[in-house]
Amino acid sequence: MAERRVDPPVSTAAPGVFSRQASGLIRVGSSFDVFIFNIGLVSVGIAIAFNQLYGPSLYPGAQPAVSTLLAALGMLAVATTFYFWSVVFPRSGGVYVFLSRTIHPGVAFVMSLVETVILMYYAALAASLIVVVGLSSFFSTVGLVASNDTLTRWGTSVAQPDGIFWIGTLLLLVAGALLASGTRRYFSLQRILFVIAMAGTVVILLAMAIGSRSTFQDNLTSLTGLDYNQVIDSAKSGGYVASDFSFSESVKFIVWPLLPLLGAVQSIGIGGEVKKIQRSQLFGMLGAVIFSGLLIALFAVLADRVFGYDFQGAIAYNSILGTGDTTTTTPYFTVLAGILTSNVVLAVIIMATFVAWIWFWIPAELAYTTRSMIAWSFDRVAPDRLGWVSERFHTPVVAIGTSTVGSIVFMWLIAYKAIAFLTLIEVLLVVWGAVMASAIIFPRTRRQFFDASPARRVTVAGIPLMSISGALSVAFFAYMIYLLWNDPIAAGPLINSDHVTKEFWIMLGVIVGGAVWYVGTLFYRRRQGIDLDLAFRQIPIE
Amino acid sequence: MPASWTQLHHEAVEIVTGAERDGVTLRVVGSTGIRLHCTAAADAMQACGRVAKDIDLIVPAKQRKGMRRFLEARGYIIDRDLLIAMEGRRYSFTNPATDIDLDVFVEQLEFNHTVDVRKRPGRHNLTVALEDLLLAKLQIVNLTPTDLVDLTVLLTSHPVTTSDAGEEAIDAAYVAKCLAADWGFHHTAVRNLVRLRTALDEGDGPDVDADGPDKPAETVRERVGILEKAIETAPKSMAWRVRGRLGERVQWWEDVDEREATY
Repeated sequence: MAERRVDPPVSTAAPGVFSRQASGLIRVGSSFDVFIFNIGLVSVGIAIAFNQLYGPSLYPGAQPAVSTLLAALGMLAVATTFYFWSVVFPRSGGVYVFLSRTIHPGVAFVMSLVETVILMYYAALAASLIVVVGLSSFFSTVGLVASNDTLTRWGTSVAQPDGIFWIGTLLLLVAGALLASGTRRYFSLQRILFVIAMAGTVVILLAMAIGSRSTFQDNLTSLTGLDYNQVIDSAKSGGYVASDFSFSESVKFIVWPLLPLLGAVQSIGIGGEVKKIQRSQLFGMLGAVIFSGLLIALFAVLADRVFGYDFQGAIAYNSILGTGDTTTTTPYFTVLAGILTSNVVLAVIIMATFVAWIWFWIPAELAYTTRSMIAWSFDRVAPDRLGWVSERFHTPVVAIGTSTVGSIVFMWLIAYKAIAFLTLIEVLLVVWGAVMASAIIFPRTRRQFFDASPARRVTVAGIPLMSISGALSVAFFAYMIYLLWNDPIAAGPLINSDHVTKEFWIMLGVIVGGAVWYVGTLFYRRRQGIDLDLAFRQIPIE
Repeated sequence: MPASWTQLHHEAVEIVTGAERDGVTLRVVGSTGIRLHCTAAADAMQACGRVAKDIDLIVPAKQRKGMRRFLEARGYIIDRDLLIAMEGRRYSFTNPATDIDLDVFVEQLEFNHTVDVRKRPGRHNLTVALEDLLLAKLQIVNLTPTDLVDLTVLLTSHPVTTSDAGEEAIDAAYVAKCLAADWGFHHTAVRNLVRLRTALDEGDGPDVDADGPDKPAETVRERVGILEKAIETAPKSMAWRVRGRLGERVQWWEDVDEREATY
């Protein structure tokens, strides 16, 4: 058998032409970094926590594993479309870059601004979830297992508004400082954390695979005083309806695993910073969707086997509605898994793993929004100052600071105003849907870009795969918006005849403010002799 | 219209000496560095198609701020895209008045392999040490004819010695020591020396008669031999031996991307 070897690149220079790209660049992100960036934005921890808490309890009959796989299937089309966009325009800046070069810079700016505000909210949401799902569960479970009342009390107290705001704010500041210290350091730390999170995940999977339901039932009673069957009975008395598997409920529940899985494509925001963009984005985006989809589904299957579907539904139902028997803190998957192990070390590993998974979300969301701001600044849509680079840290600290402060504002709203803006997902899907829709027509309308890109090589029956995946993604997003709009548990309508939500006013304010800003900037720049529309023609503004 | 070699030469000298007066230590690397070190070969390089394009410089990390101030005061405009993308590891400038481009690297050249120039500061008043100029060429995985020209010029015009013999000689022991720490770099460098020797043997070698001896090809062959022997006999690190077991089955170089805009 021939020995496998990697061959160095061969010069493609024509004879007599002494060409090698002078002073080329070593970019920062490898394929693995892109994969971690996306997996981090999926946040397997949040996905499992939400799936197992809300699925069996509020969507009786919904099987989170099935919902997750269906959501992953839809996201494969989205990831494919974004992959094509990122190889056509291998730049950092996310949807702003794609839309400004294909639709219109003004539309692109407003949509990118909307996306940025939403993602700043999600950075804050992740920070709050570290406190609520991570730390609160951590203290409660370790306190239970170790019979330590102090830790148990901390479990309750950190989840109060002050705890959420101050700890969440600290986490956002740490994430901002990490980004300000440089992308290399950020990627290095994420690699280390990923290895830790994966090792912890394997430990949890083993614990779940080895553990039995009878062990869980015994540990539940000895550690919490709760009786397994009594928890289910009390839930049923309170109105919980146990149900067999329902495909239609599983379809309705897709919106929950969709929320984390949307993160699997966000490496579009750092496209200009990754090596070998075609390989990295393909592996990073599609790999993240497939890997995280399978992992989250596997946890759902194991959770059903060990904890029981009805029990998970019942204990969560009791906790959410405040009726019936339940644990002192919200019975997230982490709490139940900690009870299963009944071992302080394993409980610590489980909680630390989930905290690590959720953490990934924060700096990655801030990094994405930062890149959008810099792209605006480069196109002169935003002040130059937004892209200012610190001579001390050598990073764009103004953009990073702006993202961090914006997220802290949302942190305050989450902690003290108890807002849960999952409705914002509907708006995000509209923004991304516009990118998907433009992918359908892009190969025809901007043919010179398409033909010059590797995307032109991939066709099905003569139709560019970019157009096909774009059409499938539009259909998928449209259906997801329909589900979210009609699901008051997950989101509900942004606006209807009876009620206009806070989210609607916020988004309207952002859209109007963004449009006014763009028009004002357009005239201001014109007076400076700068034509902002040049971005539409992919011409450097300067 | 690109700047001529005379303009680049003049500008490089002006920048290095002017920066020195401002307390900033800049040194020229790359092809321009080789020309400055081998001035007699510059015309020959031009004649065989090795056109000078820009000036590559090295600056210590602590002097980045001063470097930027100095270059901007000379009329250079910084590339904002690269400024953000490289986060202080590299800068690029252009002077609209002269059309001269500058690339400024901070302490090390990061390409297919990394050349750390911090180890031999101040060996020459204009360029980095000869050994670093040589290593900067030997690290290239996909060697082009221009790189062969540069290597030939370096090895024709400077003797290769087995120990440190001053700034105008290439210390083979130093080169070997650098390569003994990194199997990938070692592998690429040895391949490139073989390529250079093969090109000379086949008569395809660059016809550059610098200020060296009468038989330049023979001289280069002999000097390549000294380098190869030093590289082969230098004691290798544990990491080098471990990586060596994997051989070419695993990519041994960093990919260098086209220099396109990040944003």
